[in-house]
Amino acid sequence: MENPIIDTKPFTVNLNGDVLQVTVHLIGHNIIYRIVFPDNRPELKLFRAKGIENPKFWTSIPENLARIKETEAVGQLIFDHYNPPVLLKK
Amino acid sequence: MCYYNGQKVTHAEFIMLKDLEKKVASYDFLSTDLHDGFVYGNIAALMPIPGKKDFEIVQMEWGFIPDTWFGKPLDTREKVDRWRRGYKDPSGKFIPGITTLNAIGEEMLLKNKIYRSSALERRCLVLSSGFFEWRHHFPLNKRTGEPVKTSLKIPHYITVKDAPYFFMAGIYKPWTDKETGETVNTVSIVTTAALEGHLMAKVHNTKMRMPTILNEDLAWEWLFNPISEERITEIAATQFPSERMQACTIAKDFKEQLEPAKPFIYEDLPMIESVL
Repeated sequence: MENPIIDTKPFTVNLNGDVLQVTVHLIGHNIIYRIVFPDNRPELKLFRAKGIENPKFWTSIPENLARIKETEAVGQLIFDHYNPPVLLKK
Repeated sequence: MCYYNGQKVTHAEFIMLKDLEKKVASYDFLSTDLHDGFVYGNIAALMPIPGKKDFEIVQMEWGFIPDTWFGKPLDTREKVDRWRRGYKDPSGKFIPGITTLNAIGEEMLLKNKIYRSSALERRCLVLSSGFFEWRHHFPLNKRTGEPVKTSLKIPHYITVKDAPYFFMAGIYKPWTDKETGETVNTVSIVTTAALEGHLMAKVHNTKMRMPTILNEDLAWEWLFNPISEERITEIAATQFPSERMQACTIAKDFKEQLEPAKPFIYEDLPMIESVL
């Protein structure tokens, strides 16, 4: 089972030497990751959406085509942070 | 077929993402993750999906709202607020508020309890990474050597060792505001006695109560299985192993702290192990 990630503790990830602050928010039924950068870059809000060709993909909310690579890279770091998954095993 | 951020998504997913955009735009990201029950905020809970051995993660309003209270409908926010916080009746007498943040596990199935139908039919799991409780400490009077009569209230933060989150037994009930038509699920966290010797009996040393924390097997059974009244009461009384829990003292003004759960050492406060 892919981990839906429900631990809401903030954490950090390291993107190419930059330490990014990640906070987890439950909005409606959806989990949003707010990413704060150490420099002047605007923060990102990331979500794991369902695609047709890719069963799951990371996207920013709202969508931002200029930051797709950044979104995917940070999303992978978030996924790695929670790996291995921890949730009800059954 | 639609595209979102360069990816092909279904029409339904696209609508959901657009809806999520609106919610994100109006969400207060600067609020902390501290849940103070007395402000009746929302907490994350696992709710079973009817007919499936699956669940969804939802937000519920902490503070169970029954349909009526002594025959009078609680069908608007104004009525609920008065009922929760207390009010003055026409003669000026203050009528105290009713707290439903917690449901006493040993009593919730009694015939006259507002929680009964929810305990039978609407059980859920409240997600927690830790919770707060106060320990009453009676320091010795320096002159007489006797314990003082008025205790010091020392807040503690309690967690489960090596667990980023854990499950508390909950029961919920949908409530609709008659004026706006809005429906929310309201939830109460089930509590049980903290037996003598348990960490929580040492921390919550006046009331000797604690939330019913469930391991994964019991959480699964609580959430999905059709279980008898006896079994519900039995699970509600679960004593989560004391040795798997830990408590640390935190600052008295922790609610105003950026990190409410940050340990804070009090001088002259006996270690928790030596209290009993």
